Amino acid sequence: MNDQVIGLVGDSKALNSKIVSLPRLLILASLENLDEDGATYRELKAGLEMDDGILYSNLKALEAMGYLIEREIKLGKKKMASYCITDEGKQAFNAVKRWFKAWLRG
Amino acid sequence: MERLDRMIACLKQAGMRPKVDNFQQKLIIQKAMCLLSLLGMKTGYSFSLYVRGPYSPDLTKDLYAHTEQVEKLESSYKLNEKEVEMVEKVLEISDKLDPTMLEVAATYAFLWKGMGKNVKEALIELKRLKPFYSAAQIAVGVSRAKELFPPSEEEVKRMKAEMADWEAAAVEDMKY
Repeated sequence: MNDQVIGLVGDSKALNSKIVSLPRLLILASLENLDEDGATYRELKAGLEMDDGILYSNLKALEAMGYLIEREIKLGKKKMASYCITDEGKQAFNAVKRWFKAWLRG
Repeated sequence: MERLDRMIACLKQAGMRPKVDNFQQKLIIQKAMCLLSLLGMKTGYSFSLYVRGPYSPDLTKDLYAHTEQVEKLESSYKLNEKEVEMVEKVLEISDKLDPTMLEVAATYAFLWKGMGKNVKEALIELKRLKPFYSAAQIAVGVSRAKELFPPSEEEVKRMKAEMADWEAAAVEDMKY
């Protein structure tokens, strides 16, 4: 094992490994810049091309971790679910991004 | 802040009574300002493509940071004649800021004019991003977006040149 790997192992302890999956990283990435506005379920489903089972279970998992908030919003006469990222979600996502960048730099 | 003042002046001109905590109203503001930017207004906001379609995080930040000023429509900026015309155009094509019409038209226009996709690619991407709108809503929204950006004289000349052979053949065909 070289120094870089040792360093990455050390840094990885600060990460929440539960968010390191493609659906969860895509969800967090898509909500990162939308702040309080967030995005509706249907926008996430279409934009991320995820089926309901994968999207719903991962949204719920991220919500349970405190990284997302679900809200009910009204668009015209329709009520729908909207999701926005929390500060904790942004911090956790940024920590993962930093870790990946450090890995790629090596 | 000039961009904020200008944005509020646009909302005022459009006859909006904005409520910043209302999802639909924020959507309307985002998409209307996007169309105005694409029409050439120097809004001061840059838009990128997100899962929501074209969106400006800076615009949202301004709305939240100056909620009272936005909701009271306080602005010292006076729109010039051209800017008023642009707002009126957006009002006209969106059936007075109908959210569905704005969302479809702004997303299509952004893909087409903002990202440089051709009309076919823009339509395919629009349908992928907004599959929850009906074919009729997409068709009307796209046609309204096209009304905002009529072809330039040069484009008309080019189209006419491309069609010239077809027209000649059709005229010839009518002789028989």
